Amino acid sequence: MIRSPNCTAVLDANVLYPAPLRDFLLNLADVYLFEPKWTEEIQEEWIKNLLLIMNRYQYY
Amino acid sequence: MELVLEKTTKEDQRIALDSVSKLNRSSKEIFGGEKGVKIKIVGERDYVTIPKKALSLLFNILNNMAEGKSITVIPSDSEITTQQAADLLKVSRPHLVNLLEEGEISFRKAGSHRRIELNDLIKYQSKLKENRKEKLNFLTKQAQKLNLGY
Repeated sequence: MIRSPNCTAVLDANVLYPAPLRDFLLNLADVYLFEPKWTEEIQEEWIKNLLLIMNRYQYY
Repeated sequence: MELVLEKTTKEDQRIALDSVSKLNRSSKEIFGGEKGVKIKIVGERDYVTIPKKALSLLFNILNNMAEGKSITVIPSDSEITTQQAADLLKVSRPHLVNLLEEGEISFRKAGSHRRIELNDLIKYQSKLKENRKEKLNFLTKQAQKLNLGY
């Protein structure tokens, strides 16, 4: 069966950055509750900030 | 190509919602055991036996209607055009054509037109879903390992 969600939502960097919120939203989208969208700019922003904070605390 | 296309109305949605919750209560009785399910229609004397597969399709239809969605039923061996396939996947036609050219979805050429078997489209979508699930699990595990708010 091909399912498609009823509505679309833009996920901005501020909800993609906090991992639990990001995973929660993406898992909701995975069961077709909505269609998540973000731009390359948003993608770069949350990853940039994540790497920044990880560098600061020397997580890797 | 046989195609059933019905727009779901608010009234349909209301009825479907009601029937889904009632049917879910007895789903164990309905789907347990035999390949066929006996149903009785009010006013008729005899039971009608319908295949379990058909009933589970009906469950799917009702669930989607309850969400207010419209439903299309297409036999899985039917062939569709690139535009129809793009609409089903909610992508642009050029993107779909790229997927075909890259070998992600098999297709057949009818003259200068590309034709896609619905089965292959469904296969592609479940491959995507598997991939997505894997990536989501990876992200969660990574975030937990790195102590990112979990």
